[in-house]
Amino acid sequence: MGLRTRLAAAFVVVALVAALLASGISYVLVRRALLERVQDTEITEIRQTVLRYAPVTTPPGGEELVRQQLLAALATSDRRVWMIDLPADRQAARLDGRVRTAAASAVGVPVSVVFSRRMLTEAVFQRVRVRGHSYLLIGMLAAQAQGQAGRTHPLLFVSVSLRREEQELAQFTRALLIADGLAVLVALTMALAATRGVLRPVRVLGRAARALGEGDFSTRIGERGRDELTDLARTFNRTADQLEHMVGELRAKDAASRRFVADVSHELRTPLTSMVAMAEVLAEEGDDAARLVAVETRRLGTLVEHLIEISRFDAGAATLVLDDVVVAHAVAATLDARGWTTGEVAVDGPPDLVVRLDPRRLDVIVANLVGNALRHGRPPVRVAFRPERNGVELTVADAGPGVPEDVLPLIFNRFVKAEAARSRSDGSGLGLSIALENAGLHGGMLAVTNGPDGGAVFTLWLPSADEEYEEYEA
Amino acid sequence: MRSRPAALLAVLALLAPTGCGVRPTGPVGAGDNPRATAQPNPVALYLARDGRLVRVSRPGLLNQPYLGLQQLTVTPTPTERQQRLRSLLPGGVTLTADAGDLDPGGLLTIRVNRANVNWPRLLLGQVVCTANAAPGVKQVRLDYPLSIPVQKKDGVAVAGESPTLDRLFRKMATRYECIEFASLVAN
Repeated sequence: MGLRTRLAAAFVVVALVAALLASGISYVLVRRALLERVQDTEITEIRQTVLRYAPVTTPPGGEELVRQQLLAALATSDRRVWMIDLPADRQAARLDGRVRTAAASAVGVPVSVVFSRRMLTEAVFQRVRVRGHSYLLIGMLAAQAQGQAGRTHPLLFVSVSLRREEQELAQFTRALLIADGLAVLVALTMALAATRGVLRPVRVLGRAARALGEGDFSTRIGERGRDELTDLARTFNRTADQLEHMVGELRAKDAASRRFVADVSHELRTPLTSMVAMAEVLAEEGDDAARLVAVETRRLGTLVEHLIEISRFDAGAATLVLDDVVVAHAVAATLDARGWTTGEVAVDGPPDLVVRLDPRRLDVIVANLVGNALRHGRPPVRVAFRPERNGVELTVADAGPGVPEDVLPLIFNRFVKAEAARSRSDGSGLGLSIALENAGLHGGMLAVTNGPDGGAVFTLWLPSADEEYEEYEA
Repeated sequence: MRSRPAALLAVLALLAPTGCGVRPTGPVGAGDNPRATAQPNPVALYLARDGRLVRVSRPGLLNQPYLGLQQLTVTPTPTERQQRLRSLLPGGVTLTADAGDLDPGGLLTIRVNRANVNWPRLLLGQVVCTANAAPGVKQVRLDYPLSIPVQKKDGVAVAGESPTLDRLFRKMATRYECIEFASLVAN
């Protein structure tokens, strides 16, 4: 879950819980107040009506009049009243099931035994639900002064419909729910606004950091505001400044040193060419020392050539000269040109495989790999190629001891040699680097592993340039 | 994250017992039963003893100024019976009068549920004096249905001749005062 979702959810949940809690509490309080108000009002009114119309002494035969007066005074549209005159003595015995049934059917609310028992000692009320509606049942005995034996006491059952209160509560509930919904909506809006404020700088920062990581050291962020995120942005900008400065310096130094190597190599080439020629002439005259000088001078010449090649790659000046190449012919030509016989090197691959690539660079790579195999490994050296992923995969394997494990990851680095006695090797130490650069220039790959039977296996893959261009156009 | 539903549940659990709408209850006490303390002014009425009218008092009721007339139709109390007091009103006769039956001049109209009332003087005096004893009543008039014999003439019902009807109407229109019966009232 994203930060935005989490923050918004937290806001909404807090708002919801708070709103529900507040509305729940207010609902309970309001309901209690509402019901207490109607209960108090009704009970007080009934009590006062009874006090008003029930005299201490009833005139003979006046019970019916009192009864009618009470009924007339109590009757409203919300109330249903029923009344019975109980004799002053043996009241409990007279208040039996029949009376309760009659009262219940007259007021429309069931009357329980507990309720009727309690009525004899005090005024009683009860909220009852009948057929989905609430009623307030009030029971009251209009007691008369002591010493009025033989007289009857009016026993009142009043049911008050609470429909209006129910409607008020329902309205209140609706209002509360609407308010809760609005609160949640407001919370959601606020949450989205707040997270937007927080997350936009974070997103900007993230994008800038990614750009910086991808090498765009000129990336900077706007520093507006004075919060923690602005501090972070400022820190980021300072870091980017430092990085840009340092990397720039490093690049400048690197370029300078590469240029220096290139310059030195170029300066060395001309005199070396003359030296090689002179040494050859001297060597032909049979002098051993002169022959040694000639060999070393030739090596020096190769080194300088390789240095120049490498510095061309470093300077980005190397370009591909593409041609449709029959791989079988190209490999054969490379081997022929170096004087490697089929006895030393076995070639295996389809004779008609045509790949579009730079033949000179293929020659350099193959010659380097086969030369390495012959020099450092043992024959037989096997060169195999086959079409692979829109290009050609070419492997060069030898039967030698393989590349030591600790050198394996470094083998393509410059001046890395498998033999410890580095000075005795006649390689320049740059051959594999140049081969790798050439493969990279094609967009291909060059990898090395040790074969199952010990020899080193170099695997070259070069894509066919045509296919790639077609892909670009597509 | 896990505590969120838990918190919601807690809130719901808190609110659940309160429920919605009006909840039913058991019987709840609401204070003592009302004990009658009010005693409206007593009413006076006249009962008969040995051909004389005796004024007695009965407990009154609220808003029932002419309760005395109703009391005439009720059997006298044991105490009154001991004193040989009785009401002369025949059984089944009711006398009704309410506040609307008193006109501004103090004339009270008593409705009787008998036709062609022709009571003895003592009974008339009992009713008139009882009504006259009520506050604000100066004169009393009886109101009752009139009934006259109907003669059939050529198959058509014809009301009795006017002299009879006239006499009946005149009698019904008579206004009485208790003073007229002063000779009958025992001191």
